[in-house]
Amino acid sequence: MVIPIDDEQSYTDSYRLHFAAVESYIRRRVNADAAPDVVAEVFTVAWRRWHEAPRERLLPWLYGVARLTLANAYRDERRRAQLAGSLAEVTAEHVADHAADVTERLAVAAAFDGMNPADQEVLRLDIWEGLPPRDAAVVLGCTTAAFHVRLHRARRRFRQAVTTATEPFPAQQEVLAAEWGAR
Amino acid sequence: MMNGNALHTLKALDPAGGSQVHASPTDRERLLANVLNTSRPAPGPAAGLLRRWRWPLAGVAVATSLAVAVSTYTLFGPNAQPAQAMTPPPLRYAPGSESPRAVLERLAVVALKDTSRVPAGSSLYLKHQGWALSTRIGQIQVTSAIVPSERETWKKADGSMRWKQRTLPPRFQNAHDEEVWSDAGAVGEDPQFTEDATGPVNANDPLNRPAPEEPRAMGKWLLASQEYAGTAEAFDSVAAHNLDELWNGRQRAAMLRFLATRTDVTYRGKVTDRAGRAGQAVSVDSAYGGLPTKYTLILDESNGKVLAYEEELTTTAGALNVKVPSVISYFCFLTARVD
Repeated sequence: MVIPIDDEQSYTDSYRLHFAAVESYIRRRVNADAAPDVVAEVFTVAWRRWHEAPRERLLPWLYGVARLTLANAYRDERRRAQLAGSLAEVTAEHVADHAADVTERLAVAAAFDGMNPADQEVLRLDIWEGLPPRDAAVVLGCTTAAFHVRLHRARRRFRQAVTTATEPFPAQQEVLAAEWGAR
Repeated sequence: MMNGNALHTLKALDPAGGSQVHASPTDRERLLANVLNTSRPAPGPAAGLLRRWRWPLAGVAVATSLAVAVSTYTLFGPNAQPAQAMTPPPLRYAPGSESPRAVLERLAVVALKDTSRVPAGSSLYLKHQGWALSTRIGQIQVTSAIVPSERETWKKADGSMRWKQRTLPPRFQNAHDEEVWSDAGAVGEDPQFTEDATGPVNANDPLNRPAPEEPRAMGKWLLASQEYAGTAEAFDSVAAHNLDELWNGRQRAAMLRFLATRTDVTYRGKVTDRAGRAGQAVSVDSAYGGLPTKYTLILDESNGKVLAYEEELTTTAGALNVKVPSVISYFCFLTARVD
């Protein structure tokens, strides 16, 4: 059930209040070049559907709009953000990072990039958006209980992926870390 | 070694770098102005139902939402609408003595006789009519007449859809009501047309996959989009899915057999829906939407298809200025076929 919010002022207030959060949500999911276009698309869709906006859960609702918008944006794979790519840029700017830290980050990034999209989304909502399960469930269109289960499983699979990314090729990771550290 | 801290490390890798804004204030205000200059289509009843399915928010009072809608347009709309909202007459149910379980099982058996399948990759054509108390015509909450809408939907295999919607002629219960409607601006006298489209859906989302053909899986699937696993929520999901999906006989049987497991389903009897089709009605009472409401599915006796869906306030209207009992929403599913 929803509460109609149909005046420009309420939209304007909400836009200004939640712009940063929505922009961040999108920057976590598409590459930086594509983000502004997607942000514009999300707020345009939100305006068109403003009569559906639930006042009590506005930000999760906006995230949900963004999620569906991104489902379309993802048709162009080049727009999809890869954490390892972002990490390479960040790491290049921090040459003093300890090699072990870089190794860990690379493994974590590789593990995250290798996960299925559903697990990635659950982890993003939990870790980066910091949403409580009740709100994260709204974004995903599932029950709070279902979100708890998905989160538990995603965390478990993420830890397994990190282990896998680290153990088979430790020497390779060290080489990569040394390369990054040398930049 | 790092596994215990992997989640902390991941948190530190936030590509957005926290929540700082990257767009400049000028760009943000420019975007806002551009967005506000875009048009907004009037919401239709189908959008309302899909919305609830997509964004289920249990605990938010329908009373508040609808009261806001009514008062907003009564006070500020260009056309003064009566605050006492007109609602459609309730359908006439002929109560039967069968148990709901027996009725649903009988319909499931009939549904299973339909062995046709929707070929993979098919496009669909669907049509339905509906009305809801919160529907607006040209941004106006029409409370002086019943103005249903008819919607045609074309859906591709990738889930993308386009639809056209038009308002149908206003309906009145008597001449006095028509006079009141006329004095209030005769909103809806001329048909209002809207159309829109959506892109492909996320195929990884389980909710976008075909409906299960086994009762337990069907129940889980229907309730996956709802915050609480109540029977009324399942009724809501059945209706929402039928707006843009074509279920085969096994899927319909799974739905019917799942509903047969719910002890709060009641058999309401035979009824003719608002499109003139005879069917069997099963109901459930629930206040999950905020007010005590009876949710009813009308099912085709010959094949178990969902013919119609109705919501009625039963004991109190809360802040709504409607009488009780009142029908506050209905949908008639008219066509669903491979295009």
